[in-house]
Amino acid sequence: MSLPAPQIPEEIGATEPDRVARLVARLKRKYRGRITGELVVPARPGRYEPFPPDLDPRLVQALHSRGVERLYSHQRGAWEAVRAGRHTVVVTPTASGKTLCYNLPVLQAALQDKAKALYLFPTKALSQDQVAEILELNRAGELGVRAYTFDGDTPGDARKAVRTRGDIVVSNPDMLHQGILPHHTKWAQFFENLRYVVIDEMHTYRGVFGSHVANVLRRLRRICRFYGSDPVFVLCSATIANPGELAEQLIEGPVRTIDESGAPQGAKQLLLWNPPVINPDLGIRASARSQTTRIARYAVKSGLKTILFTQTRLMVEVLTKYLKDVFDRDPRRPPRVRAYRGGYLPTERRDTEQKLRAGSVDCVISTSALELGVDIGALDVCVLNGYPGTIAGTWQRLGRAGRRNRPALGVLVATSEPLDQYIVRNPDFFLGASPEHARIDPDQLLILMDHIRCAAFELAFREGERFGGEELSECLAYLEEEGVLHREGEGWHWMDDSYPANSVSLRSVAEGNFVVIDITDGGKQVIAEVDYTSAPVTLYEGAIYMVQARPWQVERLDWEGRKAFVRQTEADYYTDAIDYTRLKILEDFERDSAAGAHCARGEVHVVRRVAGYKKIRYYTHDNVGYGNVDLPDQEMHTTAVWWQVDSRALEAAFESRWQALDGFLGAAYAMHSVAALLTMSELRDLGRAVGDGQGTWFATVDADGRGRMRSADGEPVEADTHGFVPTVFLYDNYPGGVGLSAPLFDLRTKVLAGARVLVQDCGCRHGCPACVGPILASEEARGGSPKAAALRVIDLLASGYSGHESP
Amino acid sequence: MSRLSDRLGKLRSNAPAAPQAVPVQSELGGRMQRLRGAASPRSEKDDVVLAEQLGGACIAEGVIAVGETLALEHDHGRVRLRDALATSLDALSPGGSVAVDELVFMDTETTGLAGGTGTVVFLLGLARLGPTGLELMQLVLTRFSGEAALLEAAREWVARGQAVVTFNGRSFDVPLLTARYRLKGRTDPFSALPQIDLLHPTRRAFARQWPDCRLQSAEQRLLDFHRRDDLPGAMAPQAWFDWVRRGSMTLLPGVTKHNRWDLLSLAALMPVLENVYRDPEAWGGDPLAVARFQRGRGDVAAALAMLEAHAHSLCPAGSNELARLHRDRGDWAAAVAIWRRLAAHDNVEALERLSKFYEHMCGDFTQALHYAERLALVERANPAHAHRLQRLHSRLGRRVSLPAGGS
Repeated sequence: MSLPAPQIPEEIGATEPDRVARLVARLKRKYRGRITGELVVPARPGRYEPFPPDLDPRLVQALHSRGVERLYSHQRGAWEAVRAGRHTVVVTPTASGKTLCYNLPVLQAALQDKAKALYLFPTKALSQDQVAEILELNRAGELGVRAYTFDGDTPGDARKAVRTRGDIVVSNPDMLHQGILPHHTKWAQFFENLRYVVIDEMHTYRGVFGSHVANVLRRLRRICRFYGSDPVFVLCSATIANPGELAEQLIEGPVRTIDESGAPQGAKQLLLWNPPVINPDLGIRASARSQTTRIARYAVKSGLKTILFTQTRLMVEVLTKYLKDVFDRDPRRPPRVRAYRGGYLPTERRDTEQKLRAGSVDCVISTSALELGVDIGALDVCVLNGYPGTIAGTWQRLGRAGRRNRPALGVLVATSEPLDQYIVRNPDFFLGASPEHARIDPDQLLILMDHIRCAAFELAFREGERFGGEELSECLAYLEEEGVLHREGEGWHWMDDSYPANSVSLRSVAEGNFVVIDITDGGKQVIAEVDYTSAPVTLYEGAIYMVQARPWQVERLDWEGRKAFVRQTEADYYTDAIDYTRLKILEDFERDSAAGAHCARGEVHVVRRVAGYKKIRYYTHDNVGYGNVDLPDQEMHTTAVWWQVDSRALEAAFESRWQALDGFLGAAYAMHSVAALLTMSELRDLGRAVGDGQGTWFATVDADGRGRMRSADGEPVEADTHGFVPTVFLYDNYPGGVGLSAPLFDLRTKVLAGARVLVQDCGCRHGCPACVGPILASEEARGGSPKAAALRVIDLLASGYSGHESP
Repeated sequence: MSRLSDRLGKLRSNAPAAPQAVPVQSELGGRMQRLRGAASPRSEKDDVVLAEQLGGACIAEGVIAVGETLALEHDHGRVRLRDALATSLDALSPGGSVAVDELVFMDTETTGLAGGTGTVVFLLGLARLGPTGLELMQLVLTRFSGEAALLEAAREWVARGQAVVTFNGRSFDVPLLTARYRLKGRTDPFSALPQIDLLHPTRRAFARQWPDCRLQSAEQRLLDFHRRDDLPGAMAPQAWFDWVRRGSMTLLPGVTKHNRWDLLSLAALMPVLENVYRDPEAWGGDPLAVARFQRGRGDVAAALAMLEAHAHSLCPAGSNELARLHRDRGDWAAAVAIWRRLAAHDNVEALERLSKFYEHMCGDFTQALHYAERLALVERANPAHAHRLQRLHSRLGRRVSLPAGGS
């Protein structure tokens, strides 16, 4: 796994190059026209260094007994930096032996100075892998170092032993936040001797989660100061553009970056794959899903271990069903195809991981859940069903194939989304692009205030103390006014009977997960968990919910109790939610306007509603029915950038209102993709809507493919000629915003210019999913071209304000 | 200030309302204080007024001590304190020899029940029993800055103590105090002492008899003591917050009174619990639970005596326990008599014991088979019974073919 094992790969991999090469040759022969780009990364030999001379003999012994005779150059580099007391971030590919970078200095300090270390992993599963690995080294060298996990599963009677006897405590940020810091006195001994804090999978700490974690680390360092310790941080990350910057933001101090891997790497081949066009007029291509299953079938039949990544949990289930229909038809034999995603129970996930390591599963279909360092052994082929949304995420997933020096193949199959199409049509852009920046905003006001609350509970604030980028005394005064703090002399004391960490979730604004309960046969068995944000679009009554491609139907959703009761069913269809969004502008922060059009940034109120769902038949993907959904609206305040055109300019440009509406919806669709690419965020981090800005109406695309105005209740309305000011909104999809709208406003002209290029250069005639969104066959008959309308709207928006530059 | 709250207000305008800043304003004192402008930092003088109200004195900056000695003739419910002084601790303490006059009774009032370092002990009630009576010492925190002095005062007071008596202190009061001492960088005198947590013996004896085992339930049922005008414990945090924020003295006397009753009940419960463990039934307790406790401590004779004394009224589980004790000391006749009585009602354990007894002790396979067959009828699903039947059948078969001495 993470130990360098230079002698193994050549032997194991002996037959693999032929198989992978044969598969590639076959795909190229049969599907030349679908492969739009190709990249071959040649194998790279390892760079090695001897063990450091001061490495404890017991550790040398442990490494020898595991067949390790030397280190990779980056492991040695990390040793030197960490031993010199510098915060260090290590950025190297999967399976390059990252864990030794921190295990060696930590074990050395534990052996020689009884120093303690805290390891933080984003998930419990990773913690368990880690402890297993340390224990193995421990046994090998009879080190006697005690490593324990401390998380929600740690039994009450074991906790005291972990606190007082653990040399290495392995936990996660949530547990640190809710279980350790608020009880720091119980950990006094641990904190007094804390020398190292290890943060693995650092790249996962971005956006909202990262902003929370940065604040938890502020609290951790504050507690360490109280106990007189100042630990060295060792961080590890998959490839992102700014590992050093992110590390420095997370721990608020200078960090040494080590990003040259000395680990050997097998040859890798990457294909960009565009499904064939099946309706040139509408620009409709065969589905990515069909291509992905086809490639996976070839790979598995060639005897190659294959992993498929999809964008949604739903698609995991759909693809699993299709591949099980091929490979697991005989129920008496152990399954060759397995699904893996968030929401499955831990035991189910562990079982799949174990089977993957053992090589008894041939194909696994997963969401980003397997992107992390979960140990699943070596895989040969990785197929991405759709562009993961970021360059970094794409490489991370592709990194799942080709561990341990084996040659590997990755295939990126494009969907008809504009981002995907942009990528496969411009292979040079993708293959040459640098990965994204991971952004966090630790001073986002709501997040910061949450953690000031928690920090005040942990230790009284003293006058002159600092915490975060806002004026602390002002924040404390606010909390005093709110009645949870009390100022006395130089101090601010927690004075409330609550436990604030319990009401702050690091992962989202989510108020608790939903459990999915199977009531088939009168039982009550929990079969899955669904997070709060996904619940409205996956657990509405009537929804088909799938686990390992077996369908259950939701009978009853207890929203308050966070429970969905499901029953096994035999459906030949799956369900997909229809949701819509409307916005109201609350306040302008900045604006740029001139004749006829303007762009602004400010505060908005967003309401999202799930109105119903579609039933979609397997294989044909026909729409076979609709259902209604009655759920509470999801509301939030956030920041947005919006673009508007004066009604007079609009009237001059369009004959009819619905043409203008089509134009706005198409323009918004294209602008959304371009904005995500330019701000280097994921599509879902930005929300998109078209409306009037007052929340009185918003536009949706109806089943007939036509734009329609709807009232706040979702009823169709015909707006009168007054005050028809359609507005394109792109909003930061998190309450309060995480800092996306400001860079987006700065990029406002580039967004329009990029959208224009995207639409104009698209090969379709009247519009397609790759530029302005899906359109219908009747479009031409209707006498308008959504593509032309979108271009006209983009030009109107671009003409208005001073920052305008011609595309 | 307003800028920040505006920004937060806007971000939150759809979130649930923030907690209200100003709590209930029912009481006159609080309103008067506000009219007088008592929102400003309170002075030493306020502490003096509060100390008077509570009947105590300021002993350090931010600390009021309320002391009192109750004569041994004082009655708390049906218990006279002199009886408490005579308690034999054997039944209650986990071992070791501690004299009653070396005990420290302890109970805290806190700013919350959640635990964690943000929970402050603002009233630490202590008491000890001696020849002169029950000596009470309540240490009240009047401001955060007094905490170190309060903790030190407590240390001096408990210095001579050899054990701490609490009600649920093992998991609540003591860990909380440990955290407070640790926060002030001091070692804590309480966790080093042996602990006698009266919740545990109470729960053991009454968990199945009472709807709950809170201190006040115990005090009503065992001491026949009923509080009048007691301030509910849940109000305690608010009482202290009102004082600290606004100088309101309205609720705090209620808290000291409440805490005083808690301490008195701790002392008074000891002799009663001792009696409960001697004769549970007289108190509506569970003799079986008490006997199991005694056996667990290695006091088999006491357990046997306990169950024999209640033999007429024991539940089947209790009878089985008694039979096991007889068996363990080799009194098979007594054990078998009990099992026979239970077996008449198809008691599974008794049937199994009898079958084993006849098979292994007497070699009477016919009798053994008889009980095994009944057992298999009562518990059809248990494969162990079928197994036993099979074994006995084969043994009987052999015995028939080898009448001379097959075993």
